[in-house]
Amino acid sequence: MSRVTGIVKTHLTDRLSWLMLPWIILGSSFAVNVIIGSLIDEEIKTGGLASIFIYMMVIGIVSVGQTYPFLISFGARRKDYFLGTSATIALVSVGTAIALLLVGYVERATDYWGIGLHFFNVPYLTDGSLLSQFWIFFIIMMNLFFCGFAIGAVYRKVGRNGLFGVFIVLGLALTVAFYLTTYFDKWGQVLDWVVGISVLELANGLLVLTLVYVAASYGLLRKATA
Amino acid sequence: MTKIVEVSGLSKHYGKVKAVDNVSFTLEEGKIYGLLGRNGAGKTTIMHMLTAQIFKTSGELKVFGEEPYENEKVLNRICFIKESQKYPETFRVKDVLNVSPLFFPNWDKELAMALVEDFRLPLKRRMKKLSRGMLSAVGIVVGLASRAPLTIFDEPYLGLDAVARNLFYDRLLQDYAEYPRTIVLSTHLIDEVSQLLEHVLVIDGGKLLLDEEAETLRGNASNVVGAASKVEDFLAGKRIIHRAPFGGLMSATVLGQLSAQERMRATELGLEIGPVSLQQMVVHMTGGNGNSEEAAQ
Repeated sequence: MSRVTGIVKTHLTDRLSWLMLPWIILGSSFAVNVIIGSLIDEEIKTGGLASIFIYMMVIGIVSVGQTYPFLISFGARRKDYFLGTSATIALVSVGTAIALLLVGYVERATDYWGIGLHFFNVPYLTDGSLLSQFWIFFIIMMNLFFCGFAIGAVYRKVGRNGLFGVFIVLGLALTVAFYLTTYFDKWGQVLDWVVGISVLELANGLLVLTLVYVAASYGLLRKATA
Repeated sequence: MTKIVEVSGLSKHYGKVKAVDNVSFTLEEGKIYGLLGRNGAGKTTIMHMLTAQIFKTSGELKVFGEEPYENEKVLNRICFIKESQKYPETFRVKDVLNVSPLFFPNWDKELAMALVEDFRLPLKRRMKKLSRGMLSAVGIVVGLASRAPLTIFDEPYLGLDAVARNLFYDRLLQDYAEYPRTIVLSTHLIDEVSQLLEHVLVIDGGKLLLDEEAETLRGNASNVVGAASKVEDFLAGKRIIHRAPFGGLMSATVLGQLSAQERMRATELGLEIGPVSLQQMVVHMTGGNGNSEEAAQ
C-alpha cells in the first residue's frame, strides 16, 4: 500500500499540472465570460465550464508518458502505478467536483454574479439534487481522464502506428454505425433516445464507459515496457 | 555466498535480431560486478530484463530467488539507474530527491545531500534544464543514496568530467565498505573502473563471452612481442585473442596463464612478455577483426 501512496505523492509533486492549471484554465474562461456578460444585458448560458473537464482528458493523455517510464524504472509495480494514478485522479475529481458545487452555490447566491451569467450552473447537468450534481461532475472528470489515459496507454504499448490503427478502427466502426442507422432510417429513434436520457442515466452510462477505459488501460500497461 | 541474481539461458529477440542470446550467469551478494561490452552488445537489455522493465523471450531469470515481474519484494530491493533515465518534465532536482525515499526503503537523506554538495547540483533547477553531466550526477546520487541491496548503474558517468568521475568512484567505494551490497557497473570506460571491479562479465553480440573473477583475469592474458617467426613459434597451441604484425615483428595477446617454463622459453626465444589491461583484453575479445582464434598447431 505504501507504494501506492508514493505514486500519489509523486503525481501531486507536479502541483501545477494537477491542482493549479485546471483552475487557471477555468478561471480564464470565466473571466472572458464575465467581460462579455458585463457588456451585454441579456442572460448568458455558456459552456465555458467544459474547459476544466476537457483538461482532465489532456492530463490523462500526458501523464502516462510523463510518469510511467519514470516510476517503473524507480521500481514501482505496474499495478501500483495504476492504482496510484487512479487514486490521484479520484482525489482530484472529488475535490474539483466539490469546489465546482461551492462556486455554483455562490453563483446562485449572487444572482448569477449580478450580470445574469450562468457559468457554473448548466441547464440539465445541474438540475438535480446536490448529490446528483456531484456525481455527474465527478464521473465526467473520471471518464475523460481515463479516456485520455487509455489513449496514452495505447501509445505506450504499441507506439504511434498502433495508436493510428486504433483510431482507424474506431473511425470505421463509427462510419458503419452511421451508415446502418441511415440505411434502416433509425435516426429519429436514436435522437428520441438521446433526448430522453436523464442526467443520472447519463452518469451511470459514463461510469460503465469509464470502467471499460480502466480495464483497457490496465491491460495495456501490464504489458508495456518502461 | 547468497545468490542475488540467477540467469540461465536468457534470451531477448526482436524479430530476427537476437539482442540477448542464451546468456547464463549468477551474481553473488556483496560484490562489485563489471558488465562490459561495446555499444549495442546487449548490456542494457539484460539490465532491463533483470528489473522487469522489458520482457524476456525465453530462459530463466531469478532475482533474490524470485521472478521480478510485478514482484514488490524484489523490485523494492533494486535500484537501477539508466543512462537514459526519464524524469517528469516539471520535476526539479529537489523533487526527484523528495520522491526517491518513497521507492527506496534504505534511502539515506544525509548521504544524498552530501553527494548533492559534492557534485554541486542545483536543487531548484528543472531536470530538463540540466546538462548531460548533471543529469548523470543526479542518477549517481539516487543510486548511491538508495543503498539498494542490488544497485545497477548503466553508463553512470556520461558527460561527467574526470573530477566528478573520481568523486563517484571514491564515494562508491566508501559507501560500499560501510554498507556492502551487490553493485553492477555497466560501462565501456573499462580502465577507469577496472580497479573497482571484483568480477567481470563481458557481453558481445548478445552472448556472454567471459564470466570471471577480476583477480584471475588480471594475470590471465599476456602480450608477447618479438620477431614474427619466433612469436609464431611460441604461440603454437595457445589461445590468441589478438595478433598485430608490424614489419618483421609481431605483437600477440595470449589468453591463459603462462607457466614458468613457458616464460623461460620466451626469454630464450628473445621475446618480451608484458601484462594486458582489462580494457585491452575486452577490446581484443570484442574487437571488429574477429574473436579469439586457436593458433595452428
